[in-house]
Amino acid sequence: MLVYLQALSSEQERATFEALYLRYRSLMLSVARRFLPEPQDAEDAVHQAFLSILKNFNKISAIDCPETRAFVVIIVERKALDILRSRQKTVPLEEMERGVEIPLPGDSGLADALAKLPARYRQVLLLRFAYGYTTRELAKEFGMNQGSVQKLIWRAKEALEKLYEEGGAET
Amino acid sequence: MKLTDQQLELAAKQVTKAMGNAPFSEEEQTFSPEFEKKVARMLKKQRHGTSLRAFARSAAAIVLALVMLGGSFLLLNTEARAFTLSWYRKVIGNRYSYTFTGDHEGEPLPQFEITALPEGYVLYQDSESDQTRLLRYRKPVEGKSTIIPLSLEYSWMQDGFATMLLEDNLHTLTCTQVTVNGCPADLYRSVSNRNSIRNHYLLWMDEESGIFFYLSTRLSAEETIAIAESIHPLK
Repeated sequence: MLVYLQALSSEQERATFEALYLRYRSLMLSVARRFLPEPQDAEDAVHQAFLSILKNFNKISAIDCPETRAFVVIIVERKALDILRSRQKTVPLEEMERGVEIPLPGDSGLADALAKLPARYRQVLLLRFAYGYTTRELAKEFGMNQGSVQKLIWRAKEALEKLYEEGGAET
Repeated sequence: MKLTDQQLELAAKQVTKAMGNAPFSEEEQTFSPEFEKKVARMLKKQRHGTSLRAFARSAAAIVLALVMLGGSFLLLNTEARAFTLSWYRKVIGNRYSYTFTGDHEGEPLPQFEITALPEGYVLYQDSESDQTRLLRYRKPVEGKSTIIPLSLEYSWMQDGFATMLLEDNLHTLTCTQVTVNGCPADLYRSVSNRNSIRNHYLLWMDEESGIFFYLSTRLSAEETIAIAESIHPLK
């Protein structure tokens, strides 16, 4: 797979990326394997996830913190589900969209509802509101145009509001 | 109800914190050699930019096989890596892998010589190919037809891999981190379970000159390091 990467601008960034790679690669492969039984597919997901992280390296403030750990999980989960979608066109949507199991934050409110959203909706909202992805960055990440991303965000918000209002977070 | 961005930001941060503390497995995973190569390329690319030419160079691999007889290997099953600016080492199962980044294509390889060669050793091979120079010495054993070998190999730390495969049912192997003239070095001690022959393999990276050295001897660790430290550019 030939890939084209943007160069990181400083030695510090390069060292940080290498450290990030070593710190999280096993975790990422483990997450990818939850969805992709074929080792090659799982490794592809990890590789694609690292490429994505490289392109959005400004989202990472520190290596060893919950936010970064969550970030790499979100990205590799996304890549793994994309590959799963392309490999198994007949896989049930709900199974594909379940994603990784996330412990509820425990606010019995909006955060719990957000954690329970289908993976795709959860991912787009987390990347947008926790990591500050712009519509353009999300479009690249999700492989769609900006208009489609805006629609996806709108649907995700709608699903979240519905779940929150129905008290789905308390179940 | 309409959720505000502020509400969403707060909720999103709570979720990422919960995710970040979730008990996802962090058990060490083994990746395929193909993946390792792919990532090495990726790391190389982020060091050196995006030129296709550089990418093509990274496809070149240097493979050093010390012992390649197969079988299970019990030496190390954890991964240990050392990062510097231009190389890193990984140990996974029976494979020691050194990955380099460097850009010396077209540059002539500097000439080095051992200035403190132990007595009795005679140079019998001096060859250079693919930007790697190999010097082989041997010392005849008096009254016997056998010889004691010693070899020095060095090359540019060029994008790619140098991998050593080591087997267990004939050898016991240990690795120690040492220094050679201040450069980080790995000293491998291999003892044959069959005939008690002891080899030392010393690998070190001179980051200043961008050269990777590999010295193989049947001498003690101290003697091996002393030979390594006597290697200087040919005047």
